[in-house]
Amino acid sequence: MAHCNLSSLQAGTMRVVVIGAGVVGLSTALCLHERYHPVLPALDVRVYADRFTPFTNSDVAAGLSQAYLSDPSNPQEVHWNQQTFDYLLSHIHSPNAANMGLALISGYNLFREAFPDPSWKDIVLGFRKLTCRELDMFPDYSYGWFNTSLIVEGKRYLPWLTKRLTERGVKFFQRKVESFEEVARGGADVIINCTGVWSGALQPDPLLKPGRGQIIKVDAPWMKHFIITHDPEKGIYQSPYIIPGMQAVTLGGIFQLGNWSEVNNNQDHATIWESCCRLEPTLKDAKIVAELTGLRPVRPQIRLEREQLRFGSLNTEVIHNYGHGGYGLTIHWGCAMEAAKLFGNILEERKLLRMPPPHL
Amino acid sequence: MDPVRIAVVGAGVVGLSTAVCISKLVPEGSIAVVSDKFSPDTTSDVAAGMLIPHVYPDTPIPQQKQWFRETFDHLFAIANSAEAEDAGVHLVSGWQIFRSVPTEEVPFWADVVLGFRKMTEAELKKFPQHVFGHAFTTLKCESPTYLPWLEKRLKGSGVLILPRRIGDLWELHPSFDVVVNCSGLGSRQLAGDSKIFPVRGQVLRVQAPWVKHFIRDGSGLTYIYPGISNVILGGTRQKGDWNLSPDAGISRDIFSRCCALEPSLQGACDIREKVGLRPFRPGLRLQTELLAQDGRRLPVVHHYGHGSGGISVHWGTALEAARLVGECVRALRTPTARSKL
Repeated sequence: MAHCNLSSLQAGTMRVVVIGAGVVGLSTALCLHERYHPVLPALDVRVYADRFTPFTNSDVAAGLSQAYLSDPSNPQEVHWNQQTFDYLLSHIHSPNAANMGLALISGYNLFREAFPDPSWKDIVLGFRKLTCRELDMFPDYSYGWFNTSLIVEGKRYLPWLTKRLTERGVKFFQRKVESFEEVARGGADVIINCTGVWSGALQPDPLLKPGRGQIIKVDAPWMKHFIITHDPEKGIYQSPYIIPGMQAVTLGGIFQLGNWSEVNNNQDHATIWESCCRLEPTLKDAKIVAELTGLRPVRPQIRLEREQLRFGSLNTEVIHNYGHGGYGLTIHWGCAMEAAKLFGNILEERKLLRMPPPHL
Repeated sequence: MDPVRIAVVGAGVVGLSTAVCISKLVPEGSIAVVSDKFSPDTTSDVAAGMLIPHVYPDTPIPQQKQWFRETFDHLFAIANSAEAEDAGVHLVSGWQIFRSVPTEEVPFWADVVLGFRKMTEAELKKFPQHVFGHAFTTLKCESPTYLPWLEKRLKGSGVLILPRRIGDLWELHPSFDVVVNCSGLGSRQLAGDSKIFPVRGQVLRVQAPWVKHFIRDGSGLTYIYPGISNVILGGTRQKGDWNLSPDAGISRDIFSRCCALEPSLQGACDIREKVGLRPFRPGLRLQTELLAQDGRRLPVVHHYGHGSGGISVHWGTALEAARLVGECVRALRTPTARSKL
């Protein structure tokens, strides 16, 4: 659908406001700016958010790139996972990888009985079943996988994204947005809604719910592998997991649907600590360095679509990009590219493009 | 009956592990470890401690495999116990990569390590100069932690630790009945063995906690070994070089070779240089010698010459050395032996 119309640029800027500065907001802003600023110099992108790193949910996440075990209801999500993995893998070989919060990591997915291979087995590296001797290390489990994946650590990745955006002249504003209307009336031509679990405050969405998670960060530098257990009866993230990051190790295993509390809970602490120490006895010596709670933006599938809103005589384009559950870091770049594509469609419809951007 | 007094000379990984094995296998022995150097000043302390075997040309492969397997199994049990951190032993996965397909595609130790397989095409993309590789999980045994842990266990079981420099094995007579010579390069003097010589290795210890995998070039000359409190970058193999001072030019070269394999290392900090002299010998010496001089007799069990492979096979060879010591002790205690003395 290449648009070859060489009509001149419309007068005035194309103002884009991205609401939300978690991994989804920042990566969408970057992808969009990288793609369209070269062909639309009058593009003005700004980020509005009430929370910035290190206070976003992306900062709480362990950062392991791993999608859910079951196939997503939207098959596009598999594609977006692949795109994200490939994109991050291409940066692994760069001297900047550590500054970006990227590292390769291998590890174990454990089950109590045989389980079908996941859809992402060919996305990750070196996927294979565990051998008997490996399973001997985990007496409570009798089946599992080994593979190499990536860490993408929010605490480093978000500042890196912020730097890239700042270099490009994208401006950041700390503000709590109460409505799309206020942003539209403020002059935004296109609003990109990356508000995650709080999107319901801007537009009710009964499908969006918080999946509360709590994690303990420890110093356990002898741990070089991730260990993720699965209990199909309990559901995702409700079985212990141990995920080394760039420096500290994340212990977790809490998922409470519908719980909005952002405060650490003692019972959850005990659950995580006991189940992780049982899984990995060496952790008893680990020093606790932090304990955090985050709210996964859970939804049956990601909402990634356009919506036209009208406020009086104002017509505003909204691109929704929220509801990434516990796999936002895993899927963010594929979604950012999709959102950028939707933005490109808007530009074409408004005849704002001098020529098709090279990526499409 | 009086206990048989056994002196273990040397307090590197070979000396201390041999003392531990003797204390288990020879209950009638009373043991002392005699050494001029203790951790962190031994050769073992410089080694990264990766369990990837060095091949001894003069030793049959099944023997080497048995030594490696015994060591691996012993350390694997520690790594999975609550003592892992105290002992400095942990699992690590990674890749051994080759610039051309090796003649031996599957090494003899492939089924001793965990999950051994060939690298996939996708995995090899990370290393554009390399065309073939192995992926597996093995153990890292860090001497700066492991040796003090062994020493603590020894003291707990009544073994004496004697910091002393020995110039001649006869100095231990008549205080000791059996000597176990684990002096590594020191055997040039103590055993008059000119077959043992240093192979100098220089390494860098850096802070790069995001590196979770080992990477070893198939030649063994360039390697990245992530550990508990640092990442070790190596290395060199300089035959006959006794120089223990780090060379800045070599350090730059090591850093550059390692950054080529793992570019993120350019962000590594707190870089420190270390040098160790590997105790190289055409064959690992594991045998009993009965020293005799002026009517005196001193049974010596030699246990040295591990080259690059000390940590990889230490437990297996220590068990063998302890068995030899047991034989010496039994020989000393039989009436016919006593009459000969």
